[in-house]
Amino acid sequence: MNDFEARLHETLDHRAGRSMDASVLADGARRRVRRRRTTRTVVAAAVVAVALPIGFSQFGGLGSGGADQGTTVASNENSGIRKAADGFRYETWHGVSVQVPTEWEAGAMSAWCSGVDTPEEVTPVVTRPDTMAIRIACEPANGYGVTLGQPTSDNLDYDKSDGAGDGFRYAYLNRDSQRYPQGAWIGSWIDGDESVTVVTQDRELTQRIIDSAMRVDQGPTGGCPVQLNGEGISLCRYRVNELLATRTLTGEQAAAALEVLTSSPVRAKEDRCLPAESDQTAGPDDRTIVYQDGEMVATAYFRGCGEVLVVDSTQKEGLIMRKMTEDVRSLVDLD
Amino acid sequence: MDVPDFDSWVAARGPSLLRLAYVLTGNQADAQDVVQDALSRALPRWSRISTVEDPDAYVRRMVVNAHISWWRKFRRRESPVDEVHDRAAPTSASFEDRDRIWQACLRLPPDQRTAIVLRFYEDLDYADIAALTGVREGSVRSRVSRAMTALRTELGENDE
Repeated sequence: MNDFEARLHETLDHRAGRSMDASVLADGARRRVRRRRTTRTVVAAAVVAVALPIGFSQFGGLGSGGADQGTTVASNENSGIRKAADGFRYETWHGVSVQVPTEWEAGAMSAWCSGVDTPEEVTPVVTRPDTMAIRIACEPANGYGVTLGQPTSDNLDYDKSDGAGDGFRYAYLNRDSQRYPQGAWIGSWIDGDESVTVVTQDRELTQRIIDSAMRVDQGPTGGCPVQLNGEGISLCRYRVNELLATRTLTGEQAAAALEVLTSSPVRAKEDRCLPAESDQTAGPDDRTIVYQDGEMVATAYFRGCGEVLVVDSTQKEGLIMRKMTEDVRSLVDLD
Repeated sequence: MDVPDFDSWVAARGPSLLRLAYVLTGNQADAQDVVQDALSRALPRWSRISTVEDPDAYVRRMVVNAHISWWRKFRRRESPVDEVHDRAAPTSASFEDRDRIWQACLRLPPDQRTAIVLRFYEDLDYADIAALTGVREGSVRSRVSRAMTALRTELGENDE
């Protein structure tokens, strides 16, 4: 270690030595566990009613599932809107949606072994390209769940020549991959630059999920279901005008969500917190829009420290800027 | 095997976790946030984690991953530096030197600062850092190298 490295080491040691109150850690961790469980319960109950447009070309690669798994409940000028099947919710990424069991959680398939011995012991996960992947040398490398993203040569081997139609779109099922648990049923749906990879212990479940994969009609809202026949609210997460994810809440969950949005503290003009110039990643287009009866009722911006612009008819300008509290962020951060 | 209960373990090891989180995040509020996030994920699995060979290393790894997840999620390019001036002016050359180095560290991109902290605070080798952060060892070496170059340039240090 040279002189500069030694001084760097000493600096970090010195700064780390600043005393901090650790007495609140255990209780704080418990509060977060309770809050996470509460949020998960609310979301799990609500996402059954997630709706998405269906303007897609149905693919018939595996069985005849897919189109018959939802019920059209409304339509707008662009496309029909359908509910996910009972016990399932929609997950979307870059114009592709798939139905997954409601209890599946967000996470990395490569991190199943964190604290357990077998992949069967953990809840299957939904992985997106920006999901943090913890490399802790799990064996096998991946557990159960669904991966939304771009096809990769080391994901699942596939042969473009098997593609059907004008575009490259096909799906298949196999059980022979050392990257996944032994005996797992692995399905892959690939359409151009997007792919869905499903790994479960059950052949029918894998096939059902694969068959539900579809392209989402974009439309002016990017595919966000904005008309719900007065049955709830839609939350649609965008980044640079691209729809990343959607969630629909109905009944008490919708009311609770609106309460969270409208009860957040007001952010005064002098208390604004726009991003630093150096922050090039969280721009004004990084946002979640909340719709009710086809009308925007709130827009949550993730720039800076986060702000929520809420429609409020009691205000002179009809809008009010509120703070992005942790409860609000839990609600609107669908990415 | 004597298995520590969660509260006792946190009481004993919490300060150390906070120190690590502090040099990773650069401020106390975020350090608390990162450690509580990691502990809240460890708590439901504590019966298992507490029996692994080195629960301390396991949870420290969770803290690092919580930090990585945190800055990726919120896309922060820089950590707040509003509280680094909350003390008296430097009174000695070494103190001033440490302050300059620390502030230069805070201006590093999060991925480079994480690599620097793991290398020079946690004393991990490149392979361990690679395994911990989920990037290739070559990328870790590159991050450390770029960070050291940036620090030396900003501080007017000559390469050795």
